[in-house]
Amino acid sequence: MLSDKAKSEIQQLKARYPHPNSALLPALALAQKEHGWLSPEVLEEVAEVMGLSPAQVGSVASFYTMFNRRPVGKYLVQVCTNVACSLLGAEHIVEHLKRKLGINVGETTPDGLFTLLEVECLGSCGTAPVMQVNDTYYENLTAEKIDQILAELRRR
Amino acid sequence: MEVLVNVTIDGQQVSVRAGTTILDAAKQLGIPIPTFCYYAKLVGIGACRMCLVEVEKMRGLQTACTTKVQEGMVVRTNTPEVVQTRQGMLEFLLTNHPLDCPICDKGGECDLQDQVFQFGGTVSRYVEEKRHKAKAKPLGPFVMKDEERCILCRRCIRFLEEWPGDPELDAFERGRNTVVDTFYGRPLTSPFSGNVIDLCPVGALTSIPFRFKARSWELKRTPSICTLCGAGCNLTLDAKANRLLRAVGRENPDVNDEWLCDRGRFGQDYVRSDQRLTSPLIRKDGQLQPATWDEALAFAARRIQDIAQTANPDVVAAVGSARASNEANYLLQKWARAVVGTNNVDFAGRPADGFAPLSSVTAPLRAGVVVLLGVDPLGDAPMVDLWIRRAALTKGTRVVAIGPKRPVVSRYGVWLGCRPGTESAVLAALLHLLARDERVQAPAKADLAGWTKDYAPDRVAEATGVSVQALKQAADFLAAKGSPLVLYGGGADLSPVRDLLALLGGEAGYLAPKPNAWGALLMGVAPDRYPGGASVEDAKARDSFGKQWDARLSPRKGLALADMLAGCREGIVQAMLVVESDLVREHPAAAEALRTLRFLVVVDQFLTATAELADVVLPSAAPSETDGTFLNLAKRLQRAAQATYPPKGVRPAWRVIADLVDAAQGKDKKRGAESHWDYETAAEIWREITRGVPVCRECTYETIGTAGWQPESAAEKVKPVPFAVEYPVAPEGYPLTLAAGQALFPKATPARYSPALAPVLWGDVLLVHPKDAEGRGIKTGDAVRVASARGAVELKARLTDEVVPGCVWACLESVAALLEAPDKATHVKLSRS
Ligand code: SF4
Ligand code: SF4
Ligand code: FES
Ligand code: FES
Repeated sequence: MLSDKAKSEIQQLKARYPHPNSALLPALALAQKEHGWLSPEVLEEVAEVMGLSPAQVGSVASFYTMFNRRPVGKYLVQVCTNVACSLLGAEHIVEHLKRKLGINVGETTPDGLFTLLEVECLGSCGTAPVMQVNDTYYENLTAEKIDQILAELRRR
Repeated sequence: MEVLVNVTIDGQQVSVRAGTTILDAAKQLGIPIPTFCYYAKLVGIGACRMCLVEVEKMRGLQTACTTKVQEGMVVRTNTPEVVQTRQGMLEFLLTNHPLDCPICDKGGECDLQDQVFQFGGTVSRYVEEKRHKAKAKPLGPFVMKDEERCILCRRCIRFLEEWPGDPELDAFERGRNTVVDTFYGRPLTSPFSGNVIDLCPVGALTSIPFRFKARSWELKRTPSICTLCGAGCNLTLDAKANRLLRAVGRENPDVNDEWLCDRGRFGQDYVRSDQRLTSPLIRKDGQLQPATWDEALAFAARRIQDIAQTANPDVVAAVGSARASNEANYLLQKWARAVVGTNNVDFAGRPADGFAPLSSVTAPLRAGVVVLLGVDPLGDAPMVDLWIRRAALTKGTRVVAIGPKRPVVSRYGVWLGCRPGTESAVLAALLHLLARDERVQAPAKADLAGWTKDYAPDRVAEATGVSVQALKQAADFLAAKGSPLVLYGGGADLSPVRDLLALLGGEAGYLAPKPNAWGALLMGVAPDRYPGGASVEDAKARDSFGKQWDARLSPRKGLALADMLAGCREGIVQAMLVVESDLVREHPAAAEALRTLRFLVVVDQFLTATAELADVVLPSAAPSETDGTFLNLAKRLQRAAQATYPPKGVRPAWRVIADLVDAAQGKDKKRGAESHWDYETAAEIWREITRGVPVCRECTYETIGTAGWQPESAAEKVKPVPFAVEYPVAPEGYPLTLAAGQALFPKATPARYSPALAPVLWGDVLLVHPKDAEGRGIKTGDAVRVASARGAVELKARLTDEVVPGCVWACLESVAALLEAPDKATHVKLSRS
């Protein structure tokens, strides 16, 4: 469950805005950082601390794709499939990842290491095709590069 | 100062208050602008873009519902661009709409249908597969959701947020995937959830009990009122083929605005219960058996006459009801006084001397602090609860709840949880603090500072179980906000309440839980008062009613209900006529007393626990099956109108009483023109009532109309009075105190017979504080035995901190038999059974 530290950080966040509700996005980000994803229980706890209803918090959490409402693997692999990346073969990148990881988009490998997602423009069109793994960008992707990245991540 | 601005809409000029929206200004000119998300009683959000209009000098089209007028503004609502945009908006809505109008309950009263018909194009260019979402997903027992039909106007979301303050609905996901839902599909729990059905402009939210029962245009619609509590909310009763199928809110800003609670909206179907009595019953060989009306009436009339003649008229008693109409109550007391010759008339829940009505159901809107003195409006009068919530949300009104059980609305303030019977002491501690607070300015201050010197918070805290901190917070709310509205229940001690008003002003009122407590009292259903309130000992009044009723009236005061019941056992009362009152379920010792009667007649819609004891049972019509007037908890006179005919074999209570008189006078005897019992309609009784009751003199069914009528009431000046607090002492062996109240969905008559409420009815549950459960090995769900000196009952325990330690709480109808008096907390012991 949400740590006391997170709860008190959320309280501090609330004080930072003219309207305390504005702290909801950073509060959710904080909760996700702590838990990896936003379970119904965590959402309820955030609601409690925020003084909002679970529905209001769930609504906001579900609006933003960067909030995970299902458990994700240790590495969240997000492949851009927007225009620039698609023109440079994002489709093949996704196919390659699916084959290598043995999962479909939206799924997590049985060992809990990788979750594969397609996302919209990551704002790095100049280095397309691009994917993001947790907080790191990997650019100018090729199949070989992906193999290296996966091997590297597995080693960690 | 009001600033007016001039605007031109479609070439017409109008000046309106600054801050008015284009939509409202256009309304004043009678210019229609189509809307979806706009709703006058909800905050505007400009979400649906249906109301777009052209405004000179503004780029693009503007939403009329949120754009405020400005001086010199020129608006056009029907230019080709506007017309085309509307068509476009509607075409967009329809690409995503399932168009299942033929099987949609909203068909015929759907804003989308109407507006597409009026403003839409004729063909759709969208030929692809439509998006698909959940259909027929229940959100709790009452509301059915169809996600495909939703146009995302957010009215439902906003209502729950802005009125009851229960934000249980919201929009999830985004873009074309957006759906309105509860958190992970949980059931709606707001006591006012049904309003979203009326609010939804389309068929996305429909009523589960009403689903597929009728098309809207087949319904016969009758403006009436709800009679399931004292608020008297205005509603429309919709019937098809003489079956009452649904109730929807009807606008009345002085009562319910246009909302209903779920009890009132869904509970009206009790009239269709298969447990309705449809034939008179006579006890033969110990069993109640069907009989004809002639038989039953003649038998009842003869037996009562015999008993009265062999003894004296005062062995007969009549019990009216806060559930019955004025007309029925009036005839009942007239029967007792003019036909039998006794003043033994009373009813359960009669407002005590000194009790006052609320100034209005909406009184919380004018209060700085709402003080709940041992009452929970959510059970007693849900609409008052809604107004408290609304006041808290829009005006910052605070709630100070005093009592052993925590009301939901105390979330807007503070709960002074105290042991039952110590409410006055808690109030005394508040007075102690207020009399010493410099923010309070009142001449009574000095007196009160003296009288309350023994009630310092720490001492009271110890004696009552309330916390000092909570006391201080409550006093702070009161001192800061002033103008309290004190709501009290049956057993309240009013002296400290008067003192509070003397210090802070404001008002206090009795939260009458039944629909017609004030009416029954006004009709003279009291042992010492005639209709209109004159004393039975007043010779002039006696003379005048005697003339009007053509009878010699008894000058002796009659017995009050408690004395009647006590008198049963001693033979002081031997025969009783009870009209629409389930005494056994609401009055302690009633069962025992009624069993000892020689003769009991009960008139009611159901074979209630009381009717089961009767010698003759006469089935009566529900308020929606006859006409009648009711006086709500603010003494507002309103009409309950006939929406359906009663089931075959059932008569309105007023007619049953009149028929009883006919039967007594011999049914062959042709009624003469001068007969005082020759009523064809309830309206005739009402005309007779207005002749004897001065306050109603000007009122006819026509002038009461569908809006009701409220006499002016002058605010009284309150003088402070000293008072003494007595702390209850638990007798040996009974360590806990039992408090009884009413739930939102009580198992009381008539709600207990409603099929729609059946799944949510409050069961035979006992609320127990975990501390009290611990030592006794009680867990939630356990069967427990509660016993007072009067008896014992078995209930299901529910552990909760909603009650204070040392107190257990149950619904009145489950524990009436244990209580010392209906409104009195009673010492009990508790064990696992
Ligand atoms: S369910 Fe009805 S009221 Fe709620 S957003 Fe959808 S259309 Fe509007
Ligand atoms: S608040 Fe009372 S009168 Fe109003 S709808 Fe509910 S039960 Fe009926
Ligand atoms: S399209 Fe892929 S990063 Fe912009
Ligand atoms: S009614 Fe104006 S935007 Fe919906």
